[in-house]
Amino acid sequence: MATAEAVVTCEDLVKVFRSATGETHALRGIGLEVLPGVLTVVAGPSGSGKSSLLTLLGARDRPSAGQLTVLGSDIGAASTRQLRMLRRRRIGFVPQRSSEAVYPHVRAIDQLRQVGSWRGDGDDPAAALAAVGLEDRADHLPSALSGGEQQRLAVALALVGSPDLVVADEPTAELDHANADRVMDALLATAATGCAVVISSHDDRVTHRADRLLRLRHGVVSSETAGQQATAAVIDSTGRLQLPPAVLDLFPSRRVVVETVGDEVRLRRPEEGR
Amino acid sequence: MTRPTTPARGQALWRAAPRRLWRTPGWLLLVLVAATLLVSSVVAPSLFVATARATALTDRLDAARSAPFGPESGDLRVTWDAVLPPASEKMLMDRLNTLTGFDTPTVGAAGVAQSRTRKSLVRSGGVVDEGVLWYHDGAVEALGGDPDADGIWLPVEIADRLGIEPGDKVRIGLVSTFLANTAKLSPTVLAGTYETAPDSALPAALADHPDADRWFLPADPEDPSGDSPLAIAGRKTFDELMLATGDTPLYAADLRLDPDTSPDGASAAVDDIKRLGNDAYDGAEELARYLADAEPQGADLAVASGLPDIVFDSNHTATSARDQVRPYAVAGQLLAAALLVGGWVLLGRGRRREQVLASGLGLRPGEVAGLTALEVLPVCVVAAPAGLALALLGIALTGPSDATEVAAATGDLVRAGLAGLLALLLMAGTAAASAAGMDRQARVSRLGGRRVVMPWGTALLVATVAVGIAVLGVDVARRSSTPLAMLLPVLVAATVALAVARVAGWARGRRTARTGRGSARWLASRRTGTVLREVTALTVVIAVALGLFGYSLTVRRGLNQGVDDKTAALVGARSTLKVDEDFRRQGMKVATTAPVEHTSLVWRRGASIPPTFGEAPVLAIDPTTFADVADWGSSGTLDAGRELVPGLLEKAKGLPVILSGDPDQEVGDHGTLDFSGEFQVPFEVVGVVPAFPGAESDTGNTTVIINWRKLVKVVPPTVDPRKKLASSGDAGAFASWVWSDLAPGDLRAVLDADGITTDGRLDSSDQARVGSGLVAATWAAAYVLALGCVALALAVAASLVLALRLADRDAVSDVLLGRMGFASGELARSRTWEVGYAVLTAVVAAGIATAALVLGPTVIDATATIPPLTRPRPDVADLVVLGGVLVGIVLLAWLIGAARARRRHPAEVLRGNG
Repeated sequence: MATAEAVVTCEDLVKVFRSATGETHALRGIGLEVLPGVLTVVAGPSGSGKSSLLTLLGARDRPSAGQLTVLGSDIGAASTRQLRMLRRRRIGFVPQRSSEAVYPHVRAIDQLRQVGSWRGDGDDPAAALAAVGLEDRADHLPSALSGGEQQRLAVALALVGSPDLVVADEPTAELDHANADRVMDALLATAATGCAVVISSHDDRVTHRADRLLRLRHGVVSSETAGQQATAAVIDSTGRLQLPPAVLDLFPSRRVVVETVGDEVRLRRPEEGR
Repeated sequence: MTRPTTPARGQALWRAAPRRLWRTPGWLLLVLVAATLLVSSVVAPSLFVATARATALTDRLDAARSAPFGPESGDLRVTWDAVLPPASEKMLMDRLNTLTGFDTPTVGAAGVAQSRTRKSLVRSGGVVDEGVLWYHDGAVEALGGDPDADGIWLPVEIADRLGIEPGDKVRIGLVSTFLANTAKLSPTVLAGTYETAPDSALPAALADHPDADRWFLPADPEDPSGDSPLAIAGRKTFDELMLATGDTPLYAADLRLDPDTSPDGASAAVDDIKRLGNDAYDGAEELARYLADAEPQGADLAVASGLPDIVFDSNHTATSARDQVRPYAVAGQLLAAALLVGGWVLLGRGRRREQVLASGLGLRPGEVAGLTALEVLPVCVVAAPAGLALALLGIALTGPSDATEVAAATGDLVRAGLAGLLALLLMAGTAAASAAGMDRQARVSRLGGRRVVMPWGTALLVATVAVGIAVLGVDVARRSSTPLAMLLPVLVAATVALAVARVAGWARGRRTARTGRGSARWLASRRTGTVLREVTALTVVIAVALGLFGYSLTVRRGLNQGVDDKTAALVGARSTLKVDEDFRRQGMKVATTAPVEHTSLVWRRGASIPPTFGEAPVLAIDPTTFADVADWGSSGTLDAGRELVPGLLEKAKGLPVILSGDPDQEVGDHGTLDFSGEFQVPFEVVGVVPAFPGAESDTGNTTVIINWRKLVKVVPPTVDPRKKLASSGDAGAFASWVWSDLAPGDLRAVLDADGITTDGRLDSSDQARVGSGLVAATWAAAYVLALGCVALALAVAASLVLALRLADRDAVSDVLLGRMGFASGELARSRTWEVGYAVLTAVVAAGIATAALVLGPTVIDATATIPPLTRPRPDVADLVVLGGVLVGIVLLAWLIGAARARRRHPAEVLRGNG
């Protein structure tokens, strides 16, 4: 896996949103690589920066600072046209709200045909529909589909045309277990073809099926779990380390003594009164 | 069951686009209305000018309808003065028959050689009597004779005096009475006799012919106002006798202009007339060669018609109308374009999710524009003919004339098509710009990058002040034609609207609702805050549109009243007739007293007011009768002069005078009227007014109005009309006019009945309106009303959009509030309150903007050289109309908002599709 060329490379990725009341730091220096053929799940509490990260990975926004390379393009420096072509041909994206992912006036099958043609691949749109269990809804308008069906249609739109990168923001949020499993099957199948898949989710049923699990807290990646390996905390490029809450509770004074013993690093509470 | 799917790939969005708008009938209607208005605004000006030209031509032709053939008439008279051989005659007639726009010629002829020393006579034996050879097509037939038979027809009384009967021989010809009584008479026979019509030389059988009073009849040289007795002959006999007697014939071919001729047809007719006249004198032309074959010498051909002048005048009037309407037309086009673009922007806001989707899928702005073009293509295809039809209807209803048939020419069809294309491009361009903006939005995310926030309020204020200074810096006579003149009201309305909307928002934010918690009004005051910017923007749009609508009402009224005022200043009364002699030589009473009821005597002359150089017109009026018959306009501007008229009867140091125009003197000043150095009259100014009835009929910066009864007592005997030898031809004589509030025909009738000569120059207010081009301003006023209606449509559309946007905003909260116990009616009412607040704010802003525009310097007077200045004129009715609009809009918004909310299903709303 490490030998394959990364589809996405982030280095000190920062995203700041400005508003009338001030600035919100959604991402505070993310560093990661996303490899092809891997389904990566980004998990974390609400407000941890999942959607911001996925929006950036989908080339739908530019970072405020740091380096983000998606499919070889520097997202911060690329022209609007380059970003547009990237989104059009190589990235499939599922937004958080399914109603923002489909045209309301075009039949399901026609939407897949249209998007497939932009991606220049000869995939059968009907197969993409079948993959998410919507083969009998091909001729329906989105208004005739339920919320869950619209969500699955949005996933099918992201998968059709064999994109190089699929980014999905909570694609199973509105689905029952059976359909959530079906969607995950489709995403894993897509990853198996060599496509890089990045999704966000709170759902344990999803995170357990991930090839790689990234946990975000307060805009930084706090830990990473790859397959059956032990969960590792992530140290960013400036040397910062984010401790899990349970460990953090061991240091009520928010002060720690760092000791190096051999090839181990130990953290202990400072002694009282010193 | 799944239907077989079509194999086509990648065309779904394109195929679905043309049917897209049908899914949202409200937006479809708005876009269709906006596109139709745009097409209409583009097509209407040319239709207006064409109709103005046709109306001006019709009016001028109607005015000239009863005039004799010649320079006063639109008809054509072609004359020649020698006997043409048959080939030449045929050639000429063929040429006349091919003249554009004219009926077939009717030929008449008479001997015109008689004068004070040569008499046309008939003689039988030793008895002679008067008789001039005369011919007219169909005359002999009308008398019951054979036109090809020899002989002449004489009046019964002349035949009796000559003692001859039909078939008897008679001689006819010319007798010289100057030195020797020599005669050259030719023999012929009496073909018949006829009874003459009363007070006419024509036979009774011909006198009833509709054109009889326009026929060419030989004048009696002893009494030019009367006609000589006619010796009527057939054409062959007439030609032979002309040559035999040595008389000089004058042939007149009269051609009636087609009464339904179009302006282009009239212009073509004028070209033909000029070509005919030129060809007759160009030796290289066939016509001139044929005319040279005439006997006894080559014929001179002349054309006489007032049509060239009439066409020139009507074109001038149409040009004037076009110039006056142009600013309003441009404003209308900009307004319609703003409505269309604004509508599409708002529609785009409703499709925000799709715009995000399109951007996310990498659709190029060009593709978005193409999809939009396909989507609105059916709308534009419908809007092009609909706009043309609307323009035709508008011009027919409010245009220059409801009698003139309005028809679209090929150019108008092309313009409608191009306007439809323009509408399509505007919407496609707006969509493309919006898509490009969506794509570029992320560019400002970089840290350190800043959004440029445009200070719209300040920019608007600066633009308004700059444009105001630029427009008001232009001379008032040219102000209305400056390109910025129509922009100023829009900017003023927008600035006031923005200020009022902000003040209203600030005031509402500070004031706590006095209504009970949970009521519809209370809810309205809680909800607006979340979309304040959008509500403010729409409020400004409504305020600007209503401001322009209110202003258009005042402008229309001002233009119409301005025409009335200026006409009054030009003519003075409904009818004025110059009477040269009837009031002279008969003492004080006749010279100063109105001859009949509904009239007043006005004496006119010029005088200088030293030290000012140049002459000022002097209106010497009878203050006791003048005010009742003078035309005081309709705006009230001239009423100041009316109130001053009794002051002319008062005693003063010198003769009391009113000065009209822009005099150097002020009230109370003294001076001297210098009548060409012949005599001087001291005066005291008792009033100064900007305009006075009749003050503009003569040139001069200032017109002096003076009491004739006082002035006549101090004029020297040489110009005193009361003296026994006084004449209108005396050097320095005052001209006497009868002013009346009667129509011209009625004035002539009452004066005729009183034995007063009525053949002098007659001016009427109707004639002056057309002649001075003022009538074009009334047409422009109608155009302004149409423009106001477009602005009103914009206001209503913006209000409905506001109602819909509020309903969309509340889609989710309505479901939640419904669960909390709010009834759907209450929720709809709360939104109606919000619309009501917004529209009320807009109405207040519109009222303030209109007041500012009305009270400020005028920019609407296209004929400012004729005082008084035309200004917008407000009326209480305007407030009533604005109030009615307020109520109507709020009711409509309530109905639409309620219907929209009722159609929404809570489940769909919560799914995000609501």
